[in-house]
Amino acid sequence: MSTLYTYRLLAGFGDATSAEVGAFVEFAILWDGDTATMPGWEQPSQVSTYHVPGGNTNLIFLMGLGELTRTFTVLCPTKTAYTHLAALQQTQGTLRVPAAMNELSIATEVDNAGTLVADIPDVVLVSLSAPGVWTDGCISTQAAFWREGRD
Amino acid sequence: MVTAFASVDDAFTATALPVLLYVRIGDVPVDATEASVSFGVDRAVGTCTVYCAAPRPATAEMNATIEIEMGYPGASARRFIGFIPNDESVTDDRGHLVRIEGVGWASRLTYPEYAGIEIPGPVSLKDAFRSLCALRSIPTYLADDTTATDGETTIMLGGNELVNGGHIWIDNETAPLSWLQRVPPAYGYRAFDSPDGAVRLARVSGLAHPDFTGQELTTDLSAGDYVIPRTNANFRTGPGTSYPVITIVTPDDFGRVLDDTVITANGLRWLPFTFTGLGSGYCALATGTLPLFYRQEVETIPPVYREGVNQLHFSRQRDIRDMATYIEVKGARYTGEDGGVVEIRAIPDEVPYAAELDPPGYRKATVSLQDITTDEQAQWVRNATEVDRAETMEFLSWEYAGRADLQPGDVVTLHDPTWHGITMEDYWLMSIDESVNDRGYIARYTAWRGAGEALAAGNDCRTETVTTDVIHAGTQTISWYRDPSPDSVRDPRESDRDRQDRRWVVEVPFTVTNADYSSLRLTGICHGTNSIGSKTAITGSKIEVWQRDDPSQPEGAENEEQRVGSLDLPTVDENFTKRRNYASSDQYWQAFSLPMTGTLKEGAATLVIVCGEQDDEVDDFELANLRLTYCGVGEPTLPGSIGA
Repeated sequence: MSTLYTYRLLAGFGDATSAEVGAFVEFAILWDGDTATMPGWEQPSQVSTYHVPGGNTNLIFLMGLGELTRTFTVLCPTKTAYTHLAALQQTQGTLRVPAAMNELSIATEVDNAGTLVADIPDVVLVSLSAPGVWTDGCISTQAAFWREGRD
Repeated sequence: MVTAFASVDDAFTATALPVLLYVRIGDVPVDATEASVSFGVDRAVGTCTVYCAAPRPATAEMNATIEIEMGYPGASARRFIGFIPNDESVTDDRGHLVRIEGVGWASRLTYPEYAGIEIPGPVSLKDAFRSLCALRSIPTYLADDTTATDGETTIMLGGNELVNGGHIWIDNETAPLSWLQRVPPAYGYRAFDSPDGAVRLARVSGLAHPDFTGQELTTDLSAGDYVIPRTNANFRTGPGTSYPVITIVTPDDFGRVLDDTVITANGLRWLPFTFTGLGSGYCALATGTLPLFYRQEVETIPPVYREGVNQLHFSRQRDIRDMATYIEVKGARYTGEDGGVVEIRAIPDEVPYAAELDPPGYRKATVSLQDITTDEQAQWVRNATEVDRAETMEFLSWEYAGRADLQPGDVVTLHDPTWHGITMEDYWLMSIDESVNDRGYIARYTAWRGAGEALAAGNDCRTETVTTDVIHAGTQTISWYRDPSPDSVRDPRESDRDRQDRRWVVEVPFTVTNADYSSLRLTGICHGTNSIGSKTAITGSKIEVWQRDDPSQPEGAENEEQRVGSLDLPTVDENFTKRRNYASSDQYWQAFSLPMTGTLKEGAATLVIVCGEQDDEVDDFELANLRLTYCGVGEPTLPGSIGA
């Protein structure tokens, strides 16, 4: 597994404007793909297709675009951070990712200790899954995020 | 993909369809996740169901207006408007949802009027419908001109002063909608909600075709044109006189042109046609220089649903279980002006043979409706029922992308020649069930048409001669009477009285041949009844009917002859001194028609003609041409069975 930004807590989720403990959880992002690309936001196209029996006609209903989803492995530096992140499931907040791995124009890019990061508003942390407890105390997990649209 | 279709027709031919769904509750847009609507000519009240996320939208109050628009960009239209009678919020593993039901405006017709409703008659069916809609403040209602099956005679209701004073009466336990679901269908009309919000009264009966607004005699015909033959024409299996004749099409048939390509053969120009119920074939376009067809002008060409093109599912059912070729209609039973019972009844003159119903080759169905108050109404109902039920019932259903301009009762064309044997045939659109959900904008349609023919009216009454004799009731020999010698004798039934006190009577035995009559009348001609001297009116001259309890058994202590009815004869001046020539002419006789009171049984009976008396003078009079007319017992000429 390649590790991007390992132990550099450039990413996070929650209320970035709050100083309250656990309101914003910082994490690293792990990626086992090639280092040139990262998983972006997926947006399903809501369509329904039909074939007309006995002919060569096909019908497609175009019913708009679905929600944005994005899933990647995050690495929480401590059990406490993981606990805080787990508590943020099914809440809406700001997803912070390195600016290089953001394609949404609605995000706000800010400088974070010399590295540009993108704060993406109105993101829901849908679920955490497949947690892995690392022997050095870190905890990795698959985090699924949801956003209603690109705008 | 287009950003907006130019018309519904453009959307109808497209295969990539961006679906639109708008829901407004209390005039405020609501984010609905899915919606469905349901309409049908036999479901008077349209309904809708809308799902949206909980909590309830603020405007979703009970009785709030709900409006749904479905379709595609540039081709969307209102598919429901009505109000909310009930809703439900649900929490389950799908989330928190609100299901909101809606009913169309016709539901305002579903509760009875406290004091009943009277619509002054005679009134057209159309105006009666409009009155009921206005009474219940229906926002929009539309009615076809309501005519009998001839397409010209306006259907008038009420009009018989002996039934509810000639008015239409809907009592306080009957909802107007019950009346609308009972009466108009009998005449071939249906009242129902439409997706566009109008409550309609429309003809959904017989063969379906769009309204023809004009016609032109021409050979310049194009595919899809509606045509009516100018005269009888051979309808052949192919383009040429060597092809067999399928049948002869007449000016009563209508058809459609199937193709533009004219074929020349045998010196004639031919085009393929389809004629309703006759299949497809070819006809020549002209005889000599005179065109053979009138091209019919129509305002709206019906949408065509074709196999392999725009039918996701198609089904054609045929059924003879409700088929009937002998339609008997029974209407109101009431007391006529003369006190006689009248029951409205209509039957055909002759019932055609139907192989589908062999044996016996026909089937009888009786339509009973007390709202039918005239013979004419009964005939209209009979004809409408005949065109709808006298052929094998066909029920068609299919699914395809919704079309936002269709209303129940519209005409649609179906073209399923390969698998279902339907070539460009028109049907009535009977129901529409549409939904917008994650499957898209899908509509399920059903269609039907009546392919029968209206039959000529038959005679519901049967007349039988009681006696061919001229009866001279009385005691005097009168030379200018047709029968100068009196026939009366002292009444043998009054044997317990002195002979001189007994009545003067004439007995006329007869036979009741059918006891299932709805009314029985004695008709004939008379003179001098209930009158003596020159012009002195008296009473007491009458005709009594006597019959044994069991007419088939001889008279006895347990089976005595009894008086079962009595008819007062009219007062017809004697004019004794004028010595009218009653013998050789009917000029001075007067016709009478008297309702027979009481209930007669089949078998022997006796008319007892009683002479009135005044001051020891006995009324002399004559009766002739005595006949009994049984009504309600007429039968049409029935076909014989071939397969039996």
